[in-house]
Amino acid sequence: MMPLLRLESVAKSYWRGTRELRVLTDVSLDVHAGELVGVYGKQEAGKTTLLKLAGGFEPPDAGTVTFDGRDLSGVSGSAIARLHREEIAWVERSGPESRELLMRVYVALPMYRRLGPIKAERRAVAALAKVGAEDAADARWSSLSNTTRMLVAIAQALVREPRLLLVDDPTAGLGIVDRERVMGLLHSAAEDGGLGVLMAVPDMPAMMHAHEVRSLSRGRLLAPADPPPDGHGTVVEFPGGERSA
Amino acid sequence: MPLSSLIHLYRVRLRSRYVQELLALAGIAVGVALVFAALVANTSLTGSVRQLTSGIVGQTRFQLAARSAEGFDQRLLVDVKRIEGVKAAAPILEVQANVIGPSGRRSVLFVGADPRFARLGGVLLRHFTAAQLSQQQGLALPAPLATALGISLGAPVRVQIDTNTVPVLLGAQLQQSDIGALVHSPVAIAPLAFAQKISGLTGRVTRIFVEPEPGADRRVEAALRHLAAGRLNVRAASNDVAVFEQAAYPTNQSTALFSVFSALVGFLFAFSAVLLTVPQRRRLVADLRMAGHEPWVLVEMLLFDALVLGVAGSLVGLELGDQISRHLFGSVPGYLAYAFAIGSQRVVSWQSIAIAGSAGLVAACVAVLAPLRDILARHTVTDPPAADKRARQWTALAGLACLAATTVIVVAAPRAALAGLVALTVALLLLLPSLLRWIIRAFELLTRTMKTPVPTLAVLELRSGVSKTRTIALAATGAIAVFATVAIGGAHADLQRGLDAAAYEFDANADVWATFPGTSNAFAITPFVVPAATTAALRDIPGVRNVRVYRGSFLNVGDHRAWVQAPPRTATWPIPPTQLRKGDLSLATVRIREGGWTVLSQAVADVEHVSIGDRVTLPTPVPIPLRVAAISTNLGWPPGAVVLNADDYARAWGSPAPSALQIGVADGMSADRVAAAVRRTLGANLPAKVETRRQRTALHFAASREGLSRLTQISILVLISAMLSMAAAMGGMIWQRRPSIAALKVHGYPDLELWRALLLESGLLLGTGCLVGAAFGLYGQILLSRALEAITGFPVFYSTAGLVAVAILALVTAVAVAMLAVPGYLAVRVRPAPGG
Amino acid sequence: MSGLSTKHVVLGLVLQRPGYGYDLQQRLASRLGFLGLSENAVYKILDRLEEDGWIKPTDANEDGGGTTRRALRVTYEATDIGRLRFKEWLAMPSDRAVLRDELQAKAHVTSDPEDLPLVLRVAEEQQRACLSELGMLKRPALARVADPEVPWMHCAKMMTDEFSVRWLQFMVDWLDAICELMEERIQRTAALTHSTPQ
Repeated sequence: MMPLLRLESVAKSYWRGTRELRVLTDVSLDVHAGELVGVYGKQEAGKTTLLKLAGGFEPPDAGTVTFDGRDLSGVSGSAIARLHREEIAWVERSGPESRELLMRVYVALPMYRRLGPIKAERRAVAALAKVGAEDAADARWSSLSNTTRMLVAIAQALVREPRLLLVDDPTAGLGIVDRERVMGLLHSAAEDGGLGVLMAVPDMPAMMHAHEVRSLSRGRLLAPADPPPDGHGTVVEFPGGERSA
Repeated sequence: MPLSSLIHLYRVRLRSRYVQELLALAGIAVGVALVFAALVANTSLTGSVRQLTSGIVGQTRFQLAARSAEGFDQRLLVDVKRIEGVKAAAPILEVQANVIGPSGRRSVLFVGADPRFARLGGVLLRHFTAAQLSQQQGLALPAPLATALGISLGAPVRVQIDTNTVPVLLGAQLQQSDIGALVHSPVAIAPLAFAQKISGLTGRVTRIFVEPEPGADRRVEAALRHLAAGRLNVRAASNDVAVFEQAAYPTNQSTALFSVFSALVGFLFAFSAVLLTVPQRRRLVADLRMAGHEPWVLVEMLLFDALVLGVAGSLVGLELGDQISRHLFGSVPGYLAYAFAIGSQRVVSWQSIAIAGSAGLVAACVAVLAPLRDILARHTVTDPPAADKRARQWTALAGLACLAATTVIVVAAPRAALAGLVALTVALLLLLPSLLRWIIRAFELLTRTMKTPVPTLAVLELRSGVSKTRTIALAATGAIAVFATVAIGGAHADLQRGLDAAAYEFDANADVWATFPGTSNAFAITPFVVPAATTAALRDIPGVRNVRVYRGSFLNVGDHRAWVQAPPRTATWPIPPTQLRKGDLSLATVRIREGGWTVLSQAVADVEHVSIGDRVTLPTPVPIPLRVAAISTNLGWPPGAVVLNADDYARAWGSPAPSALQIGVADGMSADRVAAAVRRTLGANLPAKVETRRQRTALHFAASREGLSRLTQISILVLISAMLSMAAAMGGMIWQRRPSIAALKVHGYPDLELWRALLLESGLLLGTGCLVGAAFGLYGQILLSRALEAITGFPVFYSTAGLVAVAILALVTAVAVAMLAVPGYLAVRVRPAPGG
Repeated sequence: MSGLSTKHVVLGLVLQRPGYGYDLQQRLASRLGFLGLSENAVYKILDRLEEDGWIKPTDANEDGGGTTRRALRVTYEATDIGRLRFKEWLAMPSDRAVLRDELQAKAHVTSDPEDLPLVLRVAEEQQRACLSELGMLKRPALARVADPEVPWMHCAKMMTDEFSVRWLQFMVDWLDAICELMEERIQRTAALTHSTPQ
């Protein structure tokens, strides 16, 4: 099956003055529809860059990013915009830049053009309800809790009914209970909604919800080793010497 | 995006920024209002003359015009009609007259027209067909004029022409429905024969209007010229408009110049107000981009913002401008009314509305589209380039280049003043950021050793803000306003001094003047007959040293209605001594006294293509050869001036009638007392206005000030709007900074210190802007004064207005900062908030 | 400690620098004390290594010709076969159970710089192994521990799983950190030798 999203030997550097900062050296990755792929990495490992490249928000220096069979680097500016409005949704954790917006307006932003104000906001309120944040509809970002913010952000991404969801560090600042709730949402978006979800987290427990796990380190993406031949060699040694299967 | 969505998003965002939106709207409104008011004032001036001219001229193409007020023999009409190709011709007699009613007197253009004109002429005279007037011995006046003078239909009215005052009946009141906008013109109409009778010009007309057969234009014109034989002018029928435009040129130019400055201030006002909402707009742009909207959708949204702002601002501005043009600019510059019949009608052309309105829209668009760079960048999330030092250097270099260009214009080509002014303004705007940076740096160094943290706090925000468009726009508002006021105010003062000198020297030729009464007596241009006995009687008055005859009038030279001064040979200063531009004063004075010589202003000399020593034959009623003794300024009369002695004048005009009697008072005698005696003596024989030199000088000074009053009014408006705009924009900026003030308060800074720091910061920013503006303004003054001299030939006395400039900059800064005291105080009362 | 090959560790020590029994035991104790090998155990290992032909006494020992190694202080050096076997061991992925110990042991007994790339590769391999281990754990639902409806037995399992995940995270982070540093060392060493040719 053709993957929804494919990154092939992607590289990206930034220039800090005269110094080149090589963030990604050689990254390849597939995300299929209905699959939640988690990328584990420490701070500064290049997770956000990876997501930006995956969404076509930035062009890679080398390699290709293919969405639904289309090379994103060859897509024109307005077509990219259309993709972002309809197919590739970025979950913006930091919320709206315009702090004065009510959440119903913020969530409706991608829909105003297609639906007009009344329908767009009706859809926005429905999306908020779907993630369990209906109370936030008439609130502003500044008055929301961390969890509700994340839920609103997910609602703003899901409202466009996209095919690919890009999520950067969705569990930051959340407690265990809320972490489970947010991860559950993403998991079911993939599993039940059939979306491809690519998320990056610096937190291993959150990775447990992913169908596939990668680790980003030193500009490269590590895939899990092939399962041991005996099939159930999942043995971890703890300092105390106990074993758990 | 659907319109409903655009409106919805606009409405949603408006809630959190309506104050800034109102400020922006006010800024655009002020700019539009000033532009519109100036445009209306200008078009009204020319427009009313144009309407009157076309009201008389109608479909005629040519005119045969007399060169003096006495006109020419009406029998010439027979010859004109005999010309092959003339379809129709009609005579007209125009006389400057006073109409006197129970409640006042008014100078009017007294038009005597033939019923034949009804078919030929314009709307003014068309009324004649129906009017019983053509049969009656009556006068027709526009209804508003009749009302103002308290004259009702059929009531007697006195008409004063020359030295005669004749009672006539008001035969008709012309309504708007009869003559349209001309109802506001100062005009009186009578049948030709009747007009000739009461003006004592029996059998004479001043103009014959001619309508040629189609295609016969050139032939007819040539024949007319032949008929005129150099003693009459052959002109296009609508020539008066061109002559007037020439005369009104300086007023219109200066008004236009000021309007441009006002518009610039208004625009900067709008710009800094709109810039207050730029962060909000920029954030929304980022949000919409993240939501996946194409750049053109964002542009669409911004343009919608601009449209709302521009349309609303322009509408308010047009209304405001209408009010300003009605109440402030309504008065006609006095000096023009002496030579032209100018009505009080306001002419609002669609061009004025379009220009002012589109200026408002453009201002709104430019200001709103400031975040365009964010939109056009393909990838949103990358950081903006930090280092723009190179850009800054280039800006400063370009500014210096503009300054250099201005200097070149001042030195080498003062006629290109408008270009110079544009260059200077651009230089000001380009150099402002660097100058601001330096002054703030200097301030920092100066206050480094001070114990109080106030200066440091004040500079904190400024230092980082120098590169921000908003800060620059704020300083630029003050800079442009002060620049405009100082430059134009200075040039205005220079001009004033020049005009005063010209008037003073003109009046100083006699201790007591006797002139024809009426609004135009200041120029002493209306001839009146003085019997020899009267002159003798005047000489016998005790204290009278001598009585001299002065002659003068207006003379059309090309399109210039020049002021002819013909002082007696024995006058102390036949040529106003400070008004000579080229030539030797004593030699020229000797030659004028000698006769056969003339002094021309540059404009007149240019029309005749002559310079000093050349022969010239002016288009006088009796052309006589003269030689040019010197070139003068325009002697304070914009279209130009001619000086010759009174005897040469009498020959050239074929009339010995004086325009004024100049009476010298013996030493030690009171001019006032002598004037009273003269008044008594003349009173019996002829109605004349008798004034002492002092009274005339005062009158002249008042007149020239009135002529320039529009400049003063606009400059005050500009200053007020600049102060308001700076205070408003700065206030908005301070208000937006409350979170960072709250963060500072966490560190324990007391309210008072923060408040002082805010005021110091405002003062520093606005003061610097104004200071730079003042410095450039002084330079602009030199430029404008040189330009006035070169373009209009006005007498200009340059002097540095340094003190005035300092006063203006101090005033503007102080008032703006004072207006910030309350919002600043309210802002520092914010609660301390960690992490702001 | 069944998985960790002490034989290879001692071989590595000999490879680093030839030595006699007591000396090798001291070196072991100071660096790999956690292995807890006694002097006796070291002698046993040396015997087995000699039997396998991976090490041999140095030529210098033959002068004395005595029988007891303790008195004679027999110094061993690695044979060519020993060298080969050692490299094989280095390259071999470690048993995850003894991951920490073995990787550290390998690190201690390798020779800089030639063996470093091998260790690096092993460390990366370990990371991948951790990831696949993670993939095999069940989705934790730690939040449900608070739910009285959930039987305590399940809760204990959830808590243990959470522990495993966090332990894996620690391992991955540690491996990542050491890999990064080793990689940099390799690069800088290469740069150094490149700039100062012998």
